[in-house]
Amino acid sequence: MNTPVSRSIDRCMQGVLPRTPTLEDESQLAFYETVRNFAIGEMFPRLSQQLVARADAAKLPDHGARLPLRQLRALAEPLPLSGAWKRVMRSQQQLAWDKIRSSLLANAARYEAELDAAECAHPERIHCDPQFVTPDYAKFPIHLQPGGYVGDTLAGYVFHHGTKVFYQGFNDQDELHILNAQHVRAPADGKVRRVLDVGCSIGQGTTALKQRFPAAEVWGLDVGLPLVRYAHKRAVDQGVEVHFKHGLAEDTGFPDGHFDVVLAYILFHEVPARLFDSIVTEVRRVLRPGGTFTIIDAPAANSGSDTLAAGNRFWLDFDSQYNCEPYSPAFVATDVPELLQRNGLEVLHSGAMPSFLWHTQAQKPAIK
Amino acid sequence: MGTTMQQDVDGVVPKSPIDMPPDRDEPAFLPHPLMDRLVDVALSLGAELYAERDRRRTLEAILVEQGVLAADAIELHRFNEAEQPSRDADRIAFVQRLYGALNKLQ
Repeated sequence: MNTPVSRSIDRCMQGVLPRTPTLEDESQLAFYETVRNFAIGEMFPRLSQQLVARADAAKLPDHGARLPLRQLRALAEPLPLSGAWKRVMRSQQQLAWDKIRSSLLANAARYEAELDAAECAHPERIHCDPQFVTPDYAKFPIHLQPGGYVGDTLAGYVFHHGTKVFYQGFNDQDELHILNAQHVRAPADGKVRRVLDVGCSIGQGTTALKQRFPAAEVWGLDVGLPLVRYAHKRAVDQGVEVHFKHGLAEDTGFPDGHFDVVLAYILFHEVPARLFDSIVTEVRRVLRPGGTFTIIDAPAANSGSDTLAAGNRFWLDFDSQYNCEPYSPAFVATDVPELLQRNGLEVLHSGAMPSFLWHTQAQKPAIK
Repeated sequence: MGTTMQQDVDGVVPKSPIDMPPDRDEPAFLPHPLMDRLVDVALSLGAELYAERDRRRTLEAILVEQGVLAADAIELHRFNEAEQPSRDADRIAFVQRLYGALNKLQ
């Protein structure tokens, strides 16, 4: 139903979460969030059980956990629940994006003005190169978000509302990012003057890092200009003094030894594997001796994910094929501590988070 | 995931740059593409229905709280002729949004 009266009003904030442009958006996104919870919490466990039952009936080892993906797909194909689950997962994602994006685009001028106003208020805290060339690897509609992170000027707004659905209510007030910041390793000498959040997206982690290290100069860097502009606006609105830079993780442009602490939150599974080494090398370059690097991302090969159940591998395959996560399987196959060590960092710790994520902490060797 | 996963990874090739794939590339997970589209219809219908329920609940609560409405006022209300065109336009847009997915079939 069209609700023109409510389209032009400011519905304000709910804590640090902006309310959607209309009550209709809020209701429908809540509906899709509930549909997602149903698909994940109720449909998926049944699908996993059915997959294991078929694997066991076929006398496949490890309940089908180590099947090549083609065989895993063939195992799932006859199951009606498999098709239904995939359809619901993909459709709720598409419909939620479409709903919020169309509502935001209806008031695009207003949101563009908000971004401009934040830049006018604090131009010294946002750093963009007009000659920046977006690499092709970033030009994908990750998670089916129309335009992805780089092709829609309102991508930051769309992403924030859309990921509210993705996080299933667990990150409405940046709780997950605050938790992440608590799992960032500080240097052994305790000196933290500058912090970098590489692949910062809309800056939820960047502001959380400022909370964790209030005396430090904190920077966020991302390849998506719309995300960086929204991150800046969000930080300005919150009165948090952090810097944002539009740039590449593999070529940040910062001086050698500039940072004491670097965080990469869910960056690696969204970039091609061929960049892993160059990103770690770049982080090593911008860290001072004794500086630390924390990677928080999906569980990868070192986490024991080679024993993922058949259903979980089926989900990973679905995400890669149908939820536009083209790079995630390569990350999941990566030994993260080994990646860090072969690029000259010392791994200090690698372990599960209280959330669904995994964290690995390393440091740049101190000069002896 | 080791060797098995790495072999699988080699087969994953991103398909399209920034634009969303055209609708003709929309995967069919169910036995007929029509069934996939009907799931879209059902989800859209649910979302529309829930939004209406939520809005009505909000509205009625406010009106009752403020003493504006008697309990039976909505049931007894009639739209006048001048209001009818916008009511019709709203219904047309509603139907297009609800069943637009059917029009994506190739």
